Amino acid sequence: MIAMRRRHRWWPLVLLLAALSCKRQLAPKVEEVWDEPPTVGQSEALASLAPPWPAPTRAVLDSGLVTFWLHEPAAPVTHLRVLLPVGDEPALRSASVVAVLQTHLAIALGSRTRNRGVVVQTHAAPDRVELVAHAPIEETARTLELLAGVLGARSPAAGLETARAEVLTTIASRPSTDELAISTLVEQLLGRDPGSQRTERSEVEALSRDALLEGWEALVDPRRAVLVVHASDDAAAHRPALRQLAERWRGLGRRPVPPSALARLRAAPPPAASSTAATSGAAGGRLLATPASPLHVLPGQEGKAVLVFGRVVPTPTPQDRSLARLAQRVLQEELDVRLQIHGDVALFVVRVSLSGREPERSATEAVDALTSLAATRQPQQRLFQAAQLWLGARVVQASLDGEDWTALWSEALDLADRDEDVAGALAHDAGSMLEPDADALQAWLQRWLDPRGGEPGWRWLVAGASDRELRRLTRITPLDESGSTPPPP
Amino acid sequence: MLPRPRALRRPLSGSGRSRVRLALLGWRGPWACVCVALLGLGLGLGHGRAVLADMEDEPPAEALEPAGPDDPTEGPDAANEANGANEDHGDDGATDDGQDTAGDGGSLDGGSLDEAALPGPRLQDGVLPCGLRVIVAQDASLPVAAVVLAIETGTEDDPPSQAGLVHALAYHLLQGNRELRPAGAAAMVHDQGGITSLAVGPAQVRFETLAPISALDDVLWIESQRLRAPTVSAELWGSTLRWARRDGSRAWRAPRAAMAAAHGVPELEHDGRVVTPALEAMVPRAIGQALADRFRYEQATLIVVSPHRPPKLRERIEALFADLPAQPRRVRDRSPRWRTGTVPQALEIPGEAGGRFVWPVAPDPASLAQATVWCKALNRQRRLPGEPARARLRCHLDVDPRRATLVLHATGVDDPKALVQARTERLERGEDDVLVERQREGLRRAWSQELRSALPLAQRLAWTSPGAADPESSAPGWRARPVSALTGLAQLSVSWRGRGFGAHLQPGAAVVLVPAPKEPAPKEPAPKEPAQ
Repeated sequence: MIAMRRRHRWWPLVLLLAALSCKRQLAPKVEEVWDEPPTVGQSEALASLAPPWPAPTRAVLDSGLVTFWLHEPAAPVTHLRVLLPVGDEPALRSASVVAVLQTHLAIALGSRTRNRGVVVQTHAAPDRVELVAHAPIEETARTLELLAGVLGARSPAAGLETARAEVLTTIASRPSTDELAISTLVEQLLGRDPGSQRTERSEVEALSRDALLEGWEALVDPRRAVLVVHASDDAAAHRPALRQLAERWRGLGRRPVPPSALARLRAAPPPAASSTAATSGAAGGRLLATPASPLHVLPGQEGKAVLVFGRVVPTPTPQDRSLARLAQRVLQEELDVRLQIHGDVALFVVRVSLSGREPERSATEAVDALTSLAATRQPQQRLFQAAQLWLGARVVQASLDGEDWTALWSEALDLADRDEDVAGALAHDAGSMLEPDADALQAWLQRWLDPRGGEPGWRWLVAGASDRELRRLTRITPLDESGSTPPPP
Repeated sequence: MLPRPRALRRPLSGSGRSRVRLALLGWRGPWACVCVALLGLGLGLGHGRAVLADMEDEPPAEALEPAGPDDPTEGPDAANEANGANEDHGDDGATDDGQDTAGDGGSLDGGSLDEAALPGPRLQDGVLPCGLRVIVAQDASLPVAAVVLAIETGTEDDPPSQAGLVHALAYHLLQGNRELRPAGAAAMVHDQGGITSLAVGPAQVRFETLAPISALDDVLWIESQRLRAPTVSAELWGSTLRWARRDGSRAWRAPRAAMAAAHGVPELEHDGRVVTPALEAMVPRAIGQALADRFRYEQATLIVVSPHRPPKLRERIEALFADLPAQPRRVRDRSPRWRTGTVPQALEIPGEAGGRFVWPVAPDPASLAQATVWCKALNRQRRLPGEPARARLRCHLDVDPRRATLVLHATGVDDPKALVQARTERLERGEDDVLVERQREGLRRAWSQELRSALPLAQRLAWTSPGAADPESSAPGWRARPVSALTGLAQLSVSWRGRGFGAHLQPGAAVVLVPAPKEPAPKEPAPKEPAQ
């Protein structure tokens, strides 16, 4: 019994020691001040974080197709990428139409190149559809020929029906909460029709044959398209194949032919997303401040509530685009932030999972976090690190993707102002990102990405929220419930 | 095209086909990689298969099986259209009258090639005084560098009482040392936009990194530190075992017992990825000793593929390892024990349906290339006259840089051995040379395309024979060698017309799997007579 009592007396000390030993394992917090500019050696090494491209051969074919031929003597594979702008063509405003056309391109070219070692892919970028073929070098001419056959087809009604069936077999029966929330926010920011930014089953089923054919004609017009080739031969070696491509793939009717690739691919943003709208506040207000932007409530299934908010940011110059990307990299360390640069404007979107118990607190914290980040001057080296990570990841990704220069070229198109600048755009972009101006970034952040005190133009919406969650959200912001059932009092 | 790592395909939504037009819903281009890189910063954006993640709680990497096509031999089989499975097991339990011969008699490695006459780019292949073999190749197409540290040890080197030891130790090498904090190596790579992964195989462990060239010095330094006195403590070992436990076993087409029998290595039979109580009971001193015994630079090969000129890079690498004591190179010969009889060795496998034949493949890229071509050709052979309509022969290659196996599965016939023999003899006689040539050319193209990128090239160079039998490649010094000789492309670039199998597909070198007889049910004990 005596021993027991003694042990009991030691308990507080044991606990204290345990606590102290736990404490000792934590690393001491040291405030770091590292606002010195990065060292020259590092900058020099990083300045090469761009592909070493020789000047490409640019040509405009008789059909109006702009071609860039990237010549790398040791390339064992030919990469062909056709950029087909969607832009502001009325026939291509529906995402469902574009989805069917994109699927048709993949099926049609894939079936023709089967057993030739050619890999066919399609990508949907914000403002264009990209058709890509990776072919053995000896199949380059043949692939160009097949490409002409697919893109030059006048009215591939049967193929489009097959593609429609294919889309219907793979499409989800209904969009997820995330898809619904982000696509609706994007529609609002761009001033597009509701539902135009996502493919819905009912809409695909309801598409008429004429709508598909009209969309096809608008999409595959060579006078609006750009072809980028990365091959071991130069363009002269494939002149006959290019001539054949020009003969077999021609546009219909008369229409203006923009001379430069950038003019073709970079459509003017819709009025709601223009720089003027962004600065005038016509696109929206502020979040949790005046003029307040009401919280749009999306009808739909209840589940895990998701809040998305965002705005259009003007990015007229390459410097603006660099700043936008740097800002996104820095903010992404604390928030789920997405940025999509779309020529002269960029879409900036933040996604927040709302707490089921206190959704208003999650929303306020996210807005506060963004406000606080926008008000903080980031140390120079932190920005340098963010740029280093971004640029390093870009080349690593390009290597993992099979060193397809056409993919990087497609990215460089968005960074240049003239066709002549595309080849150097990535290097220039890397250079400007690696020389960050912390004060300029802070000023830019405060102006554009401070949802409380910066430029108005913010919009936000919530999806998947229950009635109780909506009631709690009304404590911090007015709700815009047009189209949704109002929560019970 | 190099398949994109699964970790980099990170759709935000779970639905199979996201159709929102703006790419905001998905991570596209470098953002995917950035997300992966952010894992190292502990932001919890996801967890990748091939990518080291945050070390706090999640395992840093799933051990990857050596890179290679999932099934490089699959293809349309126009002739073999049999649908039903043959219920007759076919094989009559052939007896083994073969003999085992160790050595590389079946290897096609560059030995028979005149390397000096081979065209194409050259690399630097050398051995440092510390015993480390270094291969430096140049790839100037993009400003990235791939660095692979391949250690010639693997799960087959586990002690009998400690299955899974090498696998766990490989994970433990991510826990850092005096110079690197736990997960420090991964964080350093991720912070610069690179990716890094770990591959554990039966006879090779690889640490693979792909990073922008600005990070090359850091990555080389990491690899020069990785095997030096790793930090060992009970706590770290506990977290190491947690990671190892989450790394599931690899599914091989051939049963492990068949692999072990085919290669003549009984140690291949156990599952090398288990975490047993014996591992949990290990004390730090034993862990440190096991690491020091199994992970040494004289057993390793460092492969660097970067845009830099190899001679320049060589000097930088030599400087990093200059302080290590001189050691002779120490690499075990992993060549299979080729059997030379005429009758395959029968191996009883419980639940086996019969009709499967397993061959070992020599541990070098050229032999793997040859096995792949044969396999593709066998999958595309036309049915011979007189064969039943349901006769079907399928070939599969379990790809591994050191312990690859080729599996032939005959179905739809009463005598699978006869079918295998007839089909392979046809190839051997050159009657299907056109078919073989087509497959060879197709594989050459595919490999040329794949090896264009830095990381696949470095991975393939890690497949190259460790040079145990070649005193020249084990002695300190440097040699300029053609890249194509080490990657197997040189062997794929010349016609194979009239070329036989060598030791590869001879029936006597195979192991045939036969069903194990069912054990008789234990007899019930006779009822005891009541005691009087």
